[in-house]
Amino acid sequence: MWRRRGSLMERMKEGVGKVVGLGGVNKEFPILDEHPIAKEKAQGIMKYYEKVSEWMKEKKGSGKEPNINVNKVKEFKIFRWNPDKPLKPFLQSYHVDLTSCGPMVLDVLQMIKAEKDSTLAFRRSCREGICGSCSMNIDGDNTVACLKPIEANTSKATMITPLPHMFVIKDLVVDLTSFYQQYKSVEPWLKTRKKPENGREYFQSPKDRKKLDGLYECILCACCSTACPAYWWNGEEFLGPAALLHAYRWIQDSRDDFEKERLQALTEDEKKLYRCRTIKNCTATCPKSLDPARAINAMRIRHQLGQL
Amino acid sequence: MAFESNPAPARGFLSGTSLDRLRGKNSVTGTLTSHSSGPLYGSRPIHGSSVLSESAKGISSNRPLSPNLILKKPQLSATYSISHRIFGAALCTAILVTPVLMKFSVVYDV
Repeated sequence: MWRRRGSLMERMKEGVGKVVGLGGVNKEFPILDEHPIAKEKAQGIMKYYEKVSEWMKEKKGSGKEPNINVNKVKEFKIFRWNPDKPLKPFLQSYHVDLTSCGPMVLDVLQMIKAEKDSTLAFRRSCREGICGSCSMNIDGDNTVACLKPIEANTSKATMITPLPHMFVIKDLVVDLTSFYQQYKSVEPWLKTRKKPENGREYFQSPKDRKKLDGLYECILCACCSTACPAYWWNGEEFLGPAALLHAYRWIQDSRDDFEKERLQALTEDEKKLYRCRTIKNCTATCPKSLDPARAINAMRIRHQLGQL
Repeated sequence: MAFESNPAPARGFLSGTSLDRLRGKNSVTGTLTSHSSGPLYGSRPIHGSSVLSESAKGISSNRPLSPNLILKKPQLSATYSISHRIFGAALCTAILVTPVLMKFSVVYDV
């Protein structure tokens, strides 16, 4: 199985901890050991809750109406652009009282839309990191807003902008049409030459199934592709990490009979696969801690070995 | 100023905010006069090969590009990648230029 990757620093800390005998730094949330980014985020939420519950106690202790203290109000700078009034895009500030709001950035957005400014546009659906709709750039990092805890530091504003280097439709909504077209171009479905042996379904051994772990979890949130400078400058020719991760998922599938053809389709020109410059922003940013950079490398190695 | 219809949220509007400053644009006055005359801020011509949604056909050329390079937090792997390229280019130039300089120094006895 592919190991899910967190940030490089975390991994180094963990490695050092293991050697020194501390058993890793992150002892909390052992259930998330396989999912380092989720662990980081869970810790972020705990930190946030500690702070907010302190504030709540203060509030109750005073026995008065919730007196909005400046300390508990955080500024959120949100990218705005309206196609009906096509002026310059700008950052609009909203001040949100953290004690009356949920822990995630998506909660803030929904609160702003419900109570402060209904003209704010953003995509959201499942609020639990499964649909991949609410992907956006928060404080310089591409993540899904529903999995990103708010930073409890109220002295610093949080900046929320749409996914980088995409055409903005409105506010935080970007045009993902070409991203989906690229996904479609890798033919993300099972292609076989012969009928299943029992006439009903294709079987797969548990070992073969394990090869797909770390690949099939991708939710197509486009965080990785829009974090990739190679995709920014060659967005039309280069398929981008998300589509390539899915391509590799089907190349790896033991039931699929068209690995060679799939690989050939990706490598027939130098652009679709080889425009990747191994920058690895995709791996660093993936909210599901998947590793598209490794999938791309695996495909390149497979292609090069096939040429011998 | 831009959103007269909803003045309450627009109170927090920061013209020439960090976004502009990051991009090296001082446009506090520029915003006030830029009423869609000439190319829009941050827009670029659409590539012929790019696929656009049906709804985008009419207005797509007006769509701004979302902020990218400057906003993205630097990452260790990305920094390594770009510095690798910079040093590679520098080394390549050095290797190509050094023999030429040597030749010059021999010919002109510098």
